[in-house]
Amino acid sequence: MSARSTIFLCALCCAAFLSACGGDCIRHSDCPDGLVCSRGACVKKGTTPPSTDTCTATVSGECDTGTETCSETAWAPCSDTTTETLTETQTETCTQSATVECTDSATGTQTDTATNTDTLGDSEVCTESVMGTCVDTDTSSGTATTTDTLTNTDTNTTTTTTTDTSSCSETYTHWCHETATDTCSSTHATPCDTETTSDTGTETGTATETQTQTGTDSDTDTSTSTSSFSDTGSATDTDTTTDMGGTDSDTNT
Amino acid sequence: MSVKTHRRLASLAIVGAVLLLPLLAVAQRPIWEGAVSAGSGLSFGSGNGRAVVLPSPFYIDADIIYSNDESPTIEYVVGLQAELQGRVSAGVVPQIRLTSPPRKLLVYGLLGAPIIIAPFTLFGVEGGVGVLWRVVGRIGVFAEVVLDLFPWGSDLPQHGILTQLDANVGVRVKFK
Repeated sequence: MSARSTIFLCALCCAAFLSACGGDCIRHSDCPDGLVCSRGACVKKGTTPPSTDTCTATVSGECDTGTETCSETAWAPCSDTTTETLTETQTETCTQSATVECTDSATGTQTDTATNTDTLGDSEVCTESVMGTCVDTDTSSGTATTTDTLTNTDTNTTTTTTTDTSSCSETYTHWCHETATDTCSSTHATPCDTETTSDTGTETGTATETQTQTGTDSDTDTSTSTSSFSDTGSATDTDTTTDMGGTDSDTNT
Repeated sequence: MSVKTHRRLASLAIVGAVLLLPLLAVAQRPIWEGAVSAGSGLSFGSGNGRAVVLPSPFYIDADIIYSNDESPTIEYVVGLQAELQGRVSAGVVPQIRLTSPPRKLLVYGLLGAPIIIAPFTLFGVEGGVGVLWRVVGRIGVFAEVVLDLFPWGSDLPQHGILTQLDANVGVRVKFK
């Protein structure tokens, strides 16, 4: 049947039953008080039915993009029953935290803890790829699975200054308990030395984030996400120790 | 005043009378008629990528029709129109009609410019055909099919165009 015949039959149908055919309104005066006509549907003034969707049943909800079937027939059935691809672009701020342990290579003990919080910069990109689809009806719910791959490559520089205020207690042997090369210059309990430690490192990390989104579709999606990343890095520490009575130099890698 | 002058004035008077006589002889006699009718039909529009078809609101028309005996096949019409279904509106519809020679049954075509002025506005053009049957004496009945196109007006959504295909029937009376 040709399109012209279809329109003619539709017109006859409407004439016969004096009812709306394919829409609510053509003119504003076709709508009840307080509503205006927009794209064939009576809506509140100032609102417009979504242009990306042919569903006009927006009395209590509307079909967005996705594989949605509009079950409301208050105005007109939703016609986008075919599968649509849901594309979502989201600006995401990825925050990465890592704890760097600084160990004194001479004694093997942990001497410092540095926390590195890294926020993605302009040159870094979070790419989110939505793999799932939504089913949006008033009575049904669906799930959407989102796989989010986060790639973060950054350079991290941490400078840590440690002041060692320990006291020398070995008054007879003139040996400090901290390092084997420290020498006390006094036989009394005086501060042994003052150490300045500088940590300079380059850190390269790759993080992969997997996000699972579960939602009940009524214009509201509830999503939970879990993310994990692994962070590998190396740091080069250079310790310079100034002794009250002498000069010590340690190089730790 | 000389005799020569009198002769000249008399000649001018004769010439003037000769020239004016035909004009007086062809003076048009106006023909005034009135008509009332009622109708409805279908309204067509678009919405969200699909056609919308609704019944047109029921309306009534009251027309004053002018023609003259020199050109009885051309009629000038001023109509008052009111929609009475779902809303109440008032408008004016000037028309010009070309009719077949005046007989008991005649057909005509019409062109008009409907203007709805209250409580909202609609401006458009219309064209149609009608048939008039002079039943008895000065009284006739008629039926028309009219296609209206309204591209402008406060009653239309943005970028909306209203098309109406209406039919109306009525009674027509010749006053003079």
